[in-house]
Amino acid sequence: MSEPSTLTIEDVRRALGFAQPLLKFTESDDAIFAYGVFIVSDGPHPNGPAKRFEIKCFFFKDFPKREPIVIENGGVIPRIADRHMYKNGVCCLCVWQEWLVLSQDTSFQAFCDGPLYNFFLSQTWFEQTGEWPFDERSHGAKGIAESISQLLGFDVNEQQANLYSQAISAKKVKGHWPCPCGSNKKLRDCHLDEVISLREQLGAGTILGLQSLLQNLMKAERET
Amino acid sequence: MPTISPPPSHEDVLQKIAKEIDVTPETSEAVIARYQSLGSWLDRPNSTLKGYDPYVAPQGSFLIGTANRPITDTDEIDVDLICRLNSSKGDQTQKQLKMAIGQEVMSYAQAHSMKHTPENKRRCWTLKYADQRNFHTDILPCISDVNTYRSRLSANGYMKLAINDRITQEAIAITDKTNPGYDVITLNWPSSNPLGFAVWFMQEMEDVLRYEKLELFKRGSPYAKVEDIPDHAVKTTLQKAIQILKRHRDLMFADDPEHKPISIIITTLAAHAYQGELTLVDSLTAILNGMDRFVEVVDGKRWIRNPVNPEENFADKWQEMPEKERNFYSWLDNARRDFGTYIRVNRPTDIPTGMVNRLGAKVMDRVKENFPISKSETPAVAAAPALITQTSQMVERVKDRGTETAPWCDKG
Repeated sequence: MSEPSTLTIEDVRRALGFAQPLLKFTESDDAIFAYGVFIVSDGPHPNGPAKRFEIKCFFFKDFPKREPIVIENGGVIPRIADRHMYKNGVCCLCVWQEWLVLSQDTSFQAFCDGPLYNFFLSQTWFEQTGEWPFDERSHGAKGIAESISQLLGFDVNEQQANLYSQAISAKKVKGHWPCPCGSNKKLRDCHLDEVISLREQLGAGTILGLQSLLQNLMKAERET
Repeated sequence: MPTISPPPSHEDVLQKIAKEIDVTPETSEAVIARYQSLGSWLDRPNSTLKGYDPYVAPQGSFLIGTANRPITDTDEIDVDLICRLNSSKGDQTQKQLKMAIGQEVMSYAQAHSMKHTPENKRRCWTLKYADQRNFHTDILPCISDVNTYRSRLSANGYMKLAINDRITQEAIAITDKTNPGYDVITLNWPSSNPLGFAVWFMQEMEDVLRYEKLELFKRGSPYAKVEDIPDHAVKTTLQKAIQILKRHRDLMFADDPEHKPISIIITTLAAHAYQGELTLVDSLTAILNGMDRFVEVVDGKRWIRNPVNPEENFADKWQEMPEKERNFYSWLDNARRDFGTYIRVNRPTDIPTGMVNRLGAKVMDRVKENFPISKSETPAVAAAPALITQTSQMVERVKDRGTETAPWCDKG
C-alpha cells in the first residue's frame, strides 16, 4: 500500500480520467506517465473543445516536491521562449515555487485544474488574440522577481527580490542588514517592521525555493 | 415553411437516455400491484400470519427509484421485498420465522397457480412469475429490531446515526440459513436495514427532491399541495445518473455478471459524490470525478461503508476476490472515458462508440428517433469568431475561480 503522500495512478485517473478522456495512463517506479490528446474544454460545448494538443506528461510520485514535466509533442506550439516552450517541447507551465506558495491548494487535482489547464488555455487564447489571458512571467530571473513581487504585494527588481527573500527566509533578521528596498539605509532604520510582518505572513521557509532559484538564475545570467 | 427544431444539447440527449432505460410506468404499476397482492394474501382473515400484522414492502432499487428496464424483453425484472412480522427475536427461531412466512408464500403461489414453487434461499424466499412480465421476487423474512440496532450504533460510537430516528426505526433482524443460531432461540440474529438505507439515500438528495416536486407542481400535477407529492412521482438527477451508470456497468460486464461492481456500491459512492447538481451533465461530472474518493483504506483493506451500518463493508469480498476490485476500477475508468468523451469532447449528437456499446444500441436507436444523431468521428471544427467566444468564456471562468497561473521560462 502506498504512503499517503505518494501520488498514485488512481489520483491521476481521478483528476484527469473524466476531464481529459483522450489521455492514457501508465505507471513506472517513480512517475505516472500520461499521453495522448489534451483537450481545451471545461464542459459540454456544441462545437466540442476549443483546441487539442498532443502531449505526454511525467507526474512524479513525490508530487508536489518535483515539478511535473509536460511535453507538447504535436509541434503545434512554436518551440521558442516567447511561447514558454523549450526546444525539446517541454512546456514552462508556471514558476513552480510561486504556485506552491501562492496556491491555496497544491493537490494534484489543483495542479491539473490550475497550471496544466491554464497553460494550454493560455496557448489557445494567445494563438487567437496574441495576448496571454493570465499574463506571463518574464524569462529568467526577472520572472522570478515578478513572482516574488506577487508574493510581497509590491513590485521589486531582481536585486531587491533577492534581498527581501533573504531577509524573509533567514533564521533571524539582523537590524544591521542593508534594507532590501534599496535606500542604502540599515534595515532597522528603514523597512524592518514590514519585513517582520512579511515573515509572519508568508512563513519563514516558504520563499526559500524561490530565493535559491532566483540566485542560481542571477548567477547564470551574470556568467553569460 | 417547416419549423426547424433547435439542435439538442448534451443534456437533452442524456435526459432522453435516462428516460429510455427507466422502468416503464406499466412495470412500476405491476410491481406495486404484485407486492400489494402478496401483502393482502398474508394478511387475509385465515392467514396463519394474520396475528403478526404482516407488512410487505419493496426495498432496493425499486424503493429508491433506481431500477432499470430489463436490457432485453426476455430478461427478468428483479424486485426485492421485505416481509416484516410484528414479533420479537425471543419468541421464535430464525428458522421458525422463515418457515412460517414460507408456508404462506407457498399457499400464495398455489392459490395463484404459479408454475414455479417458491425457493427457500439463504436469506429469502424466491417467487417467480412466469407471465409476460418476467418477474423474480426475493422476499426477505424479518422482524423489527430497533433497539439492538440503536445500541450497537452508540456502542460503536456512531451517535449521529444512532439518533437519526427516521433511519433507526427501519432496522430489522433477518434470518440466515448459514447462521449458527438459525435453529435455536437466541437474541443474536443477523441484522440489516434496507429501508434505512433508502431513508439515507433520500436524505442525501433531499433539497433536489423538494426542488423537483416544486417543478412538477408548477407544471401542474394532480396533487393539491407540494407536500402531497410522493417521492416516487419525481426523479432526481442523482437517481437518473445512477440508472445510467448501472446500465453502463451491466453491458460492460455482460459476459462476466458474477464479478461486476454491485449496485449498492455504485449507488452509495454516487450519492456521496453528488452535491445537488440539477443537470445530468453536472451530476455525472461530479459523480465520475469524485466517487472513488469515498472508498476508504482501513489497515490496507478497501472499505466502502454501509452509510446506515458503518461496521459493514460493501466491498468485503474484494479481499478474497481481487477481480471484483479490479472490475470496479476498470468500470470506473471506462465510465470516465465514455462519459468524459461525450460531455467534454464530442458534439451533442456524436455519441462515442464506447457509450453506444455500453448503454445499448437499442436504447440509442430510440434516442435517435428523437434527435438526428450522427455517427461521424471527425472532430468538430468551429468558426473563428465562435471559437474566440468559447475560449474567452473559459478564460473568464478561470478568473472567476481565481486559479490563474502565468507561463514562464527559465532562460530568454
